[in-house]
Amino acid sequence: MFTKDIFISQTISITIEWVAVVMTLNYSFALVLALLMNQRRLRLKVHFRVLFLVSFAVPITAVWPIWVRILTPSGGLLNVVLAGLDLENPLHPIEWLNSYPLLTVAMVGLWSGFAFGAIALLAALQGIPADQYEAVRLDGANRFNTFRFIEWPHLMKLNVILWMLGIVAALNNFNIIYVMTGGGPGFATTTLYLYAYRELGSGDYAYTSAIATLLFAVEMVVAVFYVRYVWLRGRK
Amino acid sequence: MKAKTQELINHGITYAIFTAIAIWVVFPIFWMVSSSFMSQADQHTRLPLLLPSHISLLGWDYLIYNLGLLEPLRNSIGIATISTGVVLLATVLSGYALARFSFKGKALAFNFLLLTQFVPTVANLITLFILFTRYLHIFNTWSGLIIIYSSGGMILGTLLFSGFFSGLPVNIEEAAMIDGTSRFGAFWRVILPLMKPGLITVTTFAFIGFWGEFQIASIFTDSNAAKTLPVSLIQLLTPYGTLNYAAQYAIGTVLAIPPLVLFICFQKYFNPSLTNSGYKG
Repeated sequence: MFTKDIFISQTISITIEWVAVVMTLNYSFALVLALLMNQRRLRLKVHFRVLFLVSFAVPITAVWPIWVRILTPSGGLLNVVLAGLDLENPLHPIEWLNSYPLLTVAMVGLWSGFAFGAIALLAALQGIPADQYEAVRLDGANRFNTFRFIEWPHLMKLNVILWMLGIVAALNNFNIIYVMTGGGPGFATTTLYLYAYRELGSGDYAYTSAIATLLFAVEMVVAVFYVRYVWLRGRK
Repeated sequence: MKAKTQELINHGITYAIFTAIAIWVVFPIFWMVSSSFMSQADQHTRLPLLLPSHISLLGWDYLIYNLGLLEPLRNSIGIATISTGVVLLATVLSGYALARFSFKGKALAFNFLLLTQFVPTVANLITLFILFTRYLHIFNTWSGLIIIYSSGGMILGTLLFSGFFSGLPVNIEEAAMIDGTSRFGAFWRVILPLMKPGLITVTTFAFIGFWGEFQIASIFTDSNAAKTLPVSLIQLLTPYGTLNYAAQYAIGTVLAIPPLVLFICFQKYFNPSLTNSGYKG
């Protein structure tokens, strides 16, 4: 059936693009934030930690109308602010959800999901013994080398878990894409998951199952690596 | 002295970045609450208003009288609370079993649980739909959603609890059992009081997950008998946009309150390193 469907290859490439964008955005943002929060003698970080968790707690199915309003092309807050800063021409407002749908939806996804990774990474960073920092400091290491030789190797265990869970979460993402664009415009944000859902709505159960099985197969590959990894780590 | 100045500058930059992120995080929620009190005219000003020019309750009125919001609200509260209760009751026991007992097939059970986390929901929808409509006749009922939600929550709950229980030293129960109480007595009177962080974590995660769930609820309900709030919210939208923006923001506000309250009360128990792996450490 896949051979007769002209949309499936497009959907697969959109899925790959979506996973890559989401993973890059979410992980790098979380890592930078965790490193910033891990500075010594930073007094207010406990308060900021609570604030950062706010968007993680509130379900996207509650706040999407306001995101749609912020991103509205004419008279939307984002475009008004950008025009006020002279960064865009108010006569040709950017149509965020039409011109850059995937990236815009991914940014909303970042808003609702960054805190989890950031706080997990922060917890791992705080587990690094102080004498290791002291040791590289005495060796004259700069900030980058401290990261390269102490922090990054220490984070690797958690990274593998965050990456695998992140890939599967991106593949299974439904809520954020559905409420922001419904998979559109056209097929621009239709990932495999959304595609299966769309086919479900059209009543083609057999084809829905075929797409869902394809997705399931991909995820099982990640899952087997994940289980092996967690299991081996638990045995150590 | 130089190092001290350097640190001061670093902290200053850090706080500036943190403030920017905090505004980005909190602003949409603030604006949603504020917009739910705006009149139709305020929603469509040329430059968007941050605060209503005057408090208008039209959106909230529309919600309660025209949409019958109270029924979906009752469904949402009931379904999320009961599902959370079921998950808590079942997984505190299954997590304990997985952490403490050794039995045949334990490794298999554990790995199987880890794997099932990865099954995409959309792959289950068709079979569940046929099962619910043709055989069990629980389409559009509370029990239908509660069964799906609580069975979904079992996986994460079991893994979380098994992680929490593995973190407790075995000799706590052994001491209680030597003093003459049964294993269940030890579990109930000694272990469970120490499980407060675990109970709170599972409750918060399960409740927030069920409360905001949209996909399953949209497929398995078709009237106010079981429809939940996220479904009502999206159904306000017509192909031409919504008729009543303030009502949308008002539903969003109602949906945002319980998760926020739970998270702010319990955020000190939030520890993602446990959530990730289902394993201690």
